[in-house]
Amino acid sequence: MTAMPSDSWSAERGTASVPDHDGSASEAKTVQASLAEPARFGLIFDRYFAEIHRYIARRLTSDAADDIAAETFAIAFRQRGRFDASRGVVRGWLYGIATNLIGRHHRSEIREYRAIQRSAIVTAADGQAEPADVLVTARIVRGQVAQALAELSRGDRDVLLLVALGGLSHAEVAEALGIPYGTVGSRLNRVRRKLRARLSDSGLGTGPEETDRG
Amino acid sequence: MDELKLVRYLRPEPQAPGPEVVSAARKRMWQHSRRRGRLRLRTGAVVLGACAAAAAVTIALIPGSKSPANRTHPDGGLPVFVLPPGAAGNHAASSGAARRILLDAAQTVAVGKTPPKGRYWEIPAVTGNFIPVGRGHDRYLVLEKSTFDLFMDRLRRSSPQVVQALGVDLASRADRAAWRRAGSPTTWRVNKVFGLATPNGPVDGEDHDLTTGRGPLFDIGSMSRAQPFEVGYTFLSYRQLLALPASPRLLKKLLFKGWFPSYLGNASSYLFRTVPTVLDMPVTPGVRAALYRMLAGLPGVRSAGQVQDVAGQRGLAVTLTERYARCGQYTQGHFVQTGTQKVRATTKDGKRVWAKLKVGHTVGGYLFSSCVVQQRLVINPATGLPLSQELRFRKLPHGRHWSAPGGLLSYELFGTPQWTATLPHRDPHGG
Repeated sequence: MTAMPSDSWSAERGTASVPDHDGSASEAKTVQASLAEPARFGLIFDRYFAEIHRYIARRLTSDAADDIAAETFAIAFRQRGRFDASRGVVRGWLYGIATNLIGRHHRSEIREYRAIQRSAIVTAADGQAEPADVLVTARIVRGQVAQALAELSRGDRDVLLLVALGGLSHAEVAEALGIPYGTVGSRLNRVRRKLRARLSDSGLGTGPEETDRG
Repeated sequence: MDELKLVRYLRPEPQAPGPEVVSAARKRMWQHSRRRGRLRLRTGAVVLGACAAAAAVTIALIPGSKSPANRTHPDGGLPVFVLPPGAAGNHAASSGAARRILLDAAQTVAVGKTPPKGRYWEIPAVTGNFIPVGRGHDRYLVLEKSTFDLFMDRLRRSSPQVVQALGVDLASRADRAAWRRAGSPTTWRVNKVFGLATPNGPVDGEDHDLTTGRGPLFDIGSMSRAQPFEVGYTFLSYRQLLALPASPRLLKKLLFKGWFPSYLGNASSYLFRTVPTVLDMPVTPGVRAALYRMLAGLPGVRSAGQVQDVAGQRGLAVTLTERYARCGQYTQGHFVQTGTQKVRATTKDGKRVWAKLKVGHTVGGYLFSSCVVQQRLVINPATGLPLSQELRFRKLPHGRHWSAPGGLLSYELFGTPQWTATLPHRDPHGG
């Protein structure tokens, strides 16, 4: 029997046992080391599986996320030799694989947005530690936001959701989508302007932009 | 109101994945282990047969004479693999003879030309891997054959690895008898490695359905990066490739960047199997010559003299023989029972049951506790370029045997690497 190491990292972001993103260089080394010692890739799985699952579930469904998140790590493990440890960002790389797989479910994603748009049931996100006015406004315009997202091109939607749902930095978005770092900011701004204009047409004004992590 | 927040709150926060989901995902990941890692033992792709879709097919077609299958003896069923008569070579040849073969090859390739650049550098190959199948005391050996084409996109957009199954042979007459006793199956679920195996025996690759007959053309893994040319553990752009120094010492330093000793072998065996992969890149003639000079300086390299490879091609062979521990690791493919997440397992008395798979463990093992493996590189003396690579078991633990002729476990037949303008059409579901 081949024993794999016991899990020592928490799968949840933000817990004390998980390295922060300044650990990206060590994560890259872990991926590289896993070429000779495959078991080390388990650390990457433990670190990111729940986070990737959450991102996929927020774009598709939880059921789809069970399968697609698993496939993301199977692909990542299989292709870990192609990861450039000297320059690559592990988090961005994993999100990139997940985003590609989500792309195969393009129609499912659009169907979800259309369903939100049509649905008369508006449920506020539970457990959100945000001011009440944010939640109320979100309930009101949910349909318009869903419609606007459905109308975006796939590439624009990927950029926007990697930042909005995944919380990726520009460097990580560049890694995920295989686009130059320098274009991420301009592309994101363009998509946000498009979204803002679409929401404005629907009668909703938007306030100041939050700062993007660059 | 910030539109990013609006998007963020569009849908409820999903539940975290439960432990069963996490556990199943982890098992699925380990089942896809492929211990070759980055070492794509590229083969000068010899592509036999045409892709099914006619559009945009630019794979170089090589006459079927390169296929070892044409030399087998069908008998109303699967053919039995046979080695050509000149395959053995002269094992008494010296290291001095090996050095002469490699230095002659260096001189021959040094006068070549760097081809003008194109869009995709294609490295075509045909590979064969002997795989144990069957159950219990009646296991037998099959040879699975595939094309294995690497494409490197100079413009970074898509560099796929394209494979196509070419069918299955049986390793020997005894294996054919065992295959018949097993009911003459035409499909096996195996651990398949794509390309040439590593020197320490057939390794756990990906769970794959092996079937008789030709399969679809499919992509086993594309990359989109500005540096698609893989030199050891380093990825280079075309410009960087052309700028490689024609120095054995500096090339060796680059090849060792990112490498460290492991169960996959020592420094010499790593270089011996990696150098052919670089010879087929669009490097300068000077770099090719330097690579051969590097091989000429490796300790333990011997000549096997004039040989015929598995496809009957004649060339001069050099070999490197090493002992390895824990040869032929494999993981057993699981059939997971829905709901309980139990897997099929076999008890000590041979009974098949559903059993819980412990988290962090996988079912599998090693074929042999140790082995001695010979790597063989066959060179075309006329061109100086590699014709093929082979791996053979030379020694196994007492009482263990390997029924493939000559102890062969894996081979790779090189085609002619070249620039091509388009990629072949791949079946998106073929893999």
